[in-house]
Amino acid sequence: MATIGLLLTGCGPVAGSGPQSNQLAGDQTFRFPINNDIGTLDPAQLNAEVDSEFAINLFNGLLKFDNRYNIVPDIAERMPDVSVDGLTYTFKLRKDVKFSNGDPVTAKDFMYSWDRAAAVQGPYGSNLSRIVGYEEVTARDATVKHLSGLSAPDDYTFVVQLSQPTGYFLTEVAAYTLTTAVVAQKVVDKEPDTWWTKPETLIGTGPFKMVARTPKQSLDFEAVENWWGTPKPTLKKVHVDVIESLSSAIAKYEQGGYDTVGYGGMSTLPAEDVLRIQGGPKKDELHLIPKSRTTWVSFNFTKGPFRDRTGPAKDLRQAFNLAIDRKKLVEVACARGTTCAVANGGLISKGLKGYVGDAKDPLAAFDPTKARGLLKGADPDGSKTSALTYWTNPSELNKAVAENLQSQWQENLGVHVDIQTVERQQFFQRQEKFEFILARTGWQADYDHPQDWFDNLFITGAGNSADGYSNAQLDALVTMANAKQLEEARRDYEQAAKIMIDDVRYIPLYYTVGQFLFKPYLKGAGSNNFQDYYWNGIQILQH
Amino acid sequence: MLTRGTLSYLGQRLAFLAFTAIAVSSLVFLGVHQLPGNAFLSDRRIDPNALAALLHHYHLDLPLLEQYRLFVIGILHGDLGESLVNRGVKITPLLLREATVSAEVGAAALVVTIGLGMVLGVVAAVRHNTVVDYVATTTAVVGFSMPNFVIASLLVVVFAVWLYNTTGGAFYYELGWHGTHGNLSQIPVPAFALGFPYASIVARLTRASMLDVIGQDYVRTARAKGLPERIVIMRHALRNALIPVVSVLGPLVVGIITGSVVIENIFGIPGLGKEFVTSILNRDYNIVIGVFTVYAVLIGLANLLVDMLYTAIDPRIHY
Amino acid sequence: MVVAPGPATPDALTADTLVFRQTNQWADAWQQLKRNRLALASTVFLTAVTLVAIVSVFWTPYPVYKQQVAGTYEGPTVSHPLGADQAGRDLLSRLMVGARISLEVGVGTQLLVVGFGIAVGLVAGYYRGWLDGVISTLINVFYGIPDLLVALILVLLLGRGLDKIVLAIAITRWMDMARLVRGQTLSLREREFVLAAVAIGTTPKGIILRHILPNALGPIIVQATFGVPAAILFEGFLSFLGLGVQPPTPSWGSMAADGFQAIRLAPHIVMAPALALSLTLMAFNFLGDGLRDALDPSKGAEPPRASYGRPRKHGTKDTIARAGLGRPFPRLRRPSTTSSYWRETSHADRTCPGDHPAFDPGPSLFWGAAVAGDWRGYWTGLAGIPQGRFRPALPCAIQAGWRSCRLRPPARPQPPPA
Repeated sequence: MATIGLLLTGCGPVAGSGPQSNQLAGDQTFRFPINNDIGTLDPAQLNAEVDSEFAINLFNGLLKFDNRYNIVPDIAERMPDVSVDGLTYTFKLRKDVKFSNGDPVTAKDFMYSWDRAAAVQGPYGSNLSRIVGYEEVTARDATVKHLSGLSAPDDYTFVVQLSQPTGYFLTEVAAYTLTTAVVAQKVVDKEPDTWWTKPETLIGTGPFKMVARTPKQSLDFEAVENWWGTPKPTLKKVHVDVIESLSSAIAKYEQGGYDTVGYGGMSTLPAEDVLRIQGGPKKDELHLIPKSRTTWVSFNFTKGPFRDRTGPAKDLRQAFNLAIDRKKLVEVACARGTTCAVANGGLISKGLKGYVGDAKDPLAAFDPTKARGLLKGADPDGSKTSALTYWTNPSELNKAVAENLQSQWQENLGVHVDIQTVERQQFFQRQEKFEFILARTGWQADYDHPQDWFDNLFITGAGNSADGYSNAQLDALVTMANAKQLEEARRDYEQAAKIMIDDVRYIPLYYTVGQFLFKPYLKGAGSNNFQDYYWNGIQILQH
Repeated sequence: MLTRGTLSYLGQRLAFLAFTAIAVSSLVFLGVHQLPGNAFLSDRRIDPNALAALLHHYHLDLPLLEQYRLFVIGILHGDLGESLVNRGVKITPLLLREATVSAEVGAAALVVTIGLGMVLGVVAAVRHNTVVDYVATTTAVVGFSMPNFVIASLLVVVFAVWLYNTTGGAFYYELGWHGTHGNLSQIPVPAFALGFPYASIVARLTRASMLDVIGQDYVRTARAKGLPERIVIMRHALRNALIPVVSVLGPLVVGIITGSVVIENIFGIPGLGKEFVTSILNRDYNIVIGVFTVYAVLIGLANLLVDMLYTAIDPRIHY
Repeated sequence: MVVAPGPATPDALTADTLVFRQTNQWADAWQQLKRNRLALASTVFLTAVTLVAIVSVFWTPYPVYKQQVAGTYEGPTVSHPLGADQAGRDLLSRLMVGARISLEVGVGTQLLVVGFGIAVGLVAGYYRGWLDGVISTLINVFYGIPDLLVALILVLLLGRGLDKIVLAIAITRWMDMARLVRGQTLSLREREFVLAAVAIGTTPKGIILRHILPNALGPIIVQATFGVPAAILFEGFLSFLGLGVQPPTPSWGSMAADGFQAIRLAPHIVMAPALALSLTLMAFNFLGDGLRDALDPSKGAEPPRASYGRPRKHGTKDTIARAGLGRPFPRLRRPSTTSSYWRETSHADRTCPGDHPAFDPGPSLFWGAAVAGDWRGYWTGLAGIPQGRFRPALPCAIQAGWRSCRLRPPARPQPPPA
C-alpha cells in the first residue's frame, strides 16, 4: 500500500511530542514485548489480562468499550432495545460483518458462541449467569447445550432473555473478557481445544489475525484485508516477543528494538527503570496511567483480635489504619509514587464508577497519636497484638510493601507484626480456612461497574473475599443496587461503601498505576484503566 | 577404537541414562503432586465448575496411580504432556526447541570457557611468577568470585546500552533472540557471560598441569632439540595438559546449565533455563517435570560424551 | 642445626652434618603458607571481615531494618558512606550484617558438608564392599542432578529461612567432600602403618579416627576452603530466583540480587555487595590456593621465584635452578657448594624410615619432588632404576608423622687391600 501523507495541523500524536514528520513510515510493523506468554486465545476461556489484550484485536462481540471506556456498539448496529421490565434485550446486527476467512456472521453464530461459552465454563463464564437457562446448561451432568433465553428470530436479530433485571448486563456484554465474542462454529466444532493455537484455524472477526506463534517466544499478527469495521487498520504487522526480564526489554526498547513497552498487560515496569527514565532526557516517553487495581489489607473477622465488627476490635482496626502514613509507603514501596498512588478514595480504583472521591476516605488518614491512643484503649496490656502476622505473596512489590508496613507499625504503634509469605497457589486455600490475621488483598476490576467489586468481594460469602465480614444491611443494599440501572444505583453503592468505612473493614493501601513507554513516532497508542488502545487505531510515523 | 568393549559400555551407559531419565521424572512427578495448591489458583477464585473442567482436561481428577500410568506411557512415546498455564502448548516440541537454543549458547559458552581458560592458564604457566602470571590468575579468579548475574548486568550495561549510545546505534549487542537459532551477533555476549566464571577453574587446572608438564623430560628434550618454544608448548606440552581439563568437563557442563538459568533471563534468550524459572514461578508442573527430565538426559549425555572423549585423548583408558 | 659449610666430598661428611629439624606436616605447611604473600593477605582480609561480622551483632551505624533513614536510591553521602538502598535503608549497615549472614551461610554449609562428607567417605572407603557400592551410586546419582534442582526442591519443601537454606546448600555439595575423603581413605588404608595397626589389633574405629583421618585432613581443609565461596555464590543465585533468605534479612547475595535491576539508576546498590562479595570470595580462593600448595603435593607446587632467573628458552640451567633449591628449609644455611653437593649425592646415601620400593607418596609432602615437579622420576629412582642422566637429587620422602631424614653415614673408605 502506498504511503499516505497526512497533513495535520495542531494535533500531534498521543504519545510523545513532535516527531520529525507526520508521514507514515514505510514499515508499519508494531513491536512490543510481554513477559509472560498468553495462556489461551479462546474467548470463552480467557483469564489473564495478557490474553484479553490480544483477543480484543482478534475477536468482536455485540458491544465493546472504546478507548475512552464508553460502551459502543461493535457488531450490533446500535445499542439494544431493552424491554420495560428490563428482562429482554434485542440486538440488531450489522449485515456486513465477516470472519477472517470470509464467512458472514449471523445471529446463529452468536447463539452458538454464547451457548458454548456457558457450557465450557471458562473463568468468566459467569458473565452469562443471568440469562435464562444458564443453570440447566451449567449443571453437573448437563445434557442441555442451549441457553433457552437466547433466540434468533432472523439472521440479524438476536434476543436475550434474562432471569432478573440486571443493571450491569450491558457492561458484561461489552467486557473485554470477551465471553460474549463470536467464534466460527466451523473451526471450533472440529477442534474444540486447539482451534486457536494454529494460525489457520484461529478465525475471528477482528482487524488482525495471527500468522505465527512460537510458544513462549514470539507471536506475529497481520492486518485482515478489507476489514468490515472502522477505523481500518494502518498497521500491517504486529510482532510480539516474550521476554522474561522487563529490564532487558526496556533496554531493548531504548535500543530501538521495540516501539512500546507496557502493551499486552505488562504495565508494571521495574521501578528503577521508571525512575531512571523519569530523571533522564527521554522522560516524555514515559506515561503513568492509573489501572483498575486496588490493594488493601484485610482483617480476619472470624477470629483473632480484630474479630468483632464493633467494640474494641473496631478501635484496634482503626488504630492500625491510622498508624500507616500512606504517602511514605507509596514513596518507598512504589518508587516515589510512580508505580502506585495512595488509595484515599475508597476501595474502588480512581477513574472507575463507584470511586468515593479524592481524599474522601477517612480510613486513609494518618494520625499516629490517635492511633496509639486507640491501641492503648483497645489493648492496654499488649496481649492481643503480640503475635500478629501479615500474609502476603512473594512478589517484589508486595515484599517491599510488607516490609514498609511492618516498619511503620513498629515505629508508629510499637507493635511488631511478622511477615509471612505464602505462595500464590496456597494463598486462597489457606485464607479460606481463616488462618490469617492480616492479609494483603488486591482486586483488579473486570469491568467498570461497582457490581464487580461488591458481588465478588464485599457481600457476605463473596466468592473472592475471605475475611469473614458479614453485614446484612450491606447485602440488602447491594442486591437492590444490582437490579437498577447504574445512574439510579449509584447512590446505593455509595451508601454501601460508607457502611464498610464505618465498620473499618479494611486498611486501604494504594491504587496501581501502570507505566507505559511510547516512542514519539507512535500515534494512537495508549491505554486506559482497563485495556490498551486498539491496534487498528495505531499508526507509525516516519522516524 | 570402536571396539566391542566400547560399544557395550556405550550401550550400558545409554540404558542407564534412560533409566535415570524415567527415575528423575517419576521422582519429580511424585514430588509436584505432593506440593499444595495447583497451577490454577491465583488471586481471583476460580469458578468451581471451571476448575472441575480444567482438572478433567488435564487428567488431574484421576487417582494418582492412574495419572502416573498415563504419564509413563506418555514418556515412553516421548510425549511430556501439555502445559498447565499455556493451554494447547505441547511440552515436548517446546522443550526440544528451547534445548536447541540453550545448546547453542551453551556450546559457545563452553568454547569461551575452555578457550579463555586454557589461554589464561598457558600464559600464566609459561610466564610463570611474573606480572603476567598474576594478572592472568587474578582475572580468572575475579570471574569466579562475583555472582554471575552481576557480571551479566554489567555486560548488558556496557554492550547493549553504553556501546549503543556511544556509537549512535551503529554497533551494539542486540538483546533478545531471533527465531530458533538467533542472530550470530546475539550469541557472543551471553556466551561470554555464561562461560567466564568457569574459565577460572579451567585456567587454574591448565596452569597447574602445564607447570607439571613443562618440567618433564620430553619437554626438555624438545627444547634441547632446538625446537622453537612455541612449538614446544603448543604441540608437546599442551596435549598432555589437556587431560585434567577433560576430566572437569562434566561438572563444567553442569555448571553451564545452572548458570544458563540466570543468563537467559537477563539476556532475554528463550532457552531451557528461562523455561525452568518461568515454569516454577507459574507453578506449571507439567513443564517442571519436563524440564527436570530434559536436564537429567542432557547431563547424562554430557557425562557420557566426556567419558568417551577420555578414551580418545588418553589411549591408556579403554572400556 | 646448621649445616657446616665444608668441602663437598662425601668423606668429610658425618652422620649429623646435615640434619633436619624435627618438624611435622602442619608446621611445615604453616611455614610455606606464610611465605605465600597472597594467602597471607587473604587471611588478614578474611579476619577483618569476620571482625566486621561479629561487630555487626552489636552495633551498626543505622538500624538495619529501618526504612527511609535516607532517601530511596540515594547515592553515597557523608552521613551514609555507601548510600541507601531501594527502601531507604543504610547500605553500610546492611553490608555489615550481610557479612555475618553470608559467612554464616558459607561456613555453616561447609561445616555440615565436612561433617557428613567425612563420615560417609571414611565409611565407604574403609569398609568397601557393598556399602561402598551403595554410597558411590548415591554420590553418582546426586552428581547427575544439577545442584539448582536439588536446592529448589529442598527450598520448596522445607520453606525459607537461614538454617533451611544452609541445609539445602549443604545437601547439594556433600558429594565432592565424600568423594575426596573416600579416595583418600582408599589410598591410605593400604599404607604400612595402617597394616601395622591392623596387625596389632586396633579396632577399625581407632584406625579410621587415629590413622586415616588425620592424614586425610590436608585435602579436606583445602576442599572446605574452596567450598565456602561456592556456597556463598550459590546462596546469591538462589536469592536471584527469589529462594534465598527471607526479606528483610540482608545477605550479600540477596542484596546484589535485589539491587541488580537498579544497576543503571543507582549502581552502588548492587556494586557495594558485589564488590564485598568478590573480594571476600577471592580471598577465600587465594587462601585455598595457598593451603593447597602448602598441604597437597600432587598438585605440583610452583618452582621457586624468579630470583633464579626467568625460564629461558633453551638449556638446562633453568631446570637446575628449579631443582631442589626453591624451598629452603627453615634455618638451613646452604653452603655455596650445595648445588654440586646435591647433584652428586644420590638417593642411595640417604635413608628414610619406612622407605619401601613400592612406596606410595600419599598425602605427605615431599619437598624436592614437589619442587622439581618430577615426582615420577623420584619413583623410578626409588625403584632402583639406574639414573644414568642427571637427575636432581632429592631429599627423602617424609612419612606420615613427619620424621626427619638422616644422612646415612657414607661408607668408610676401605683400607687398601694389603
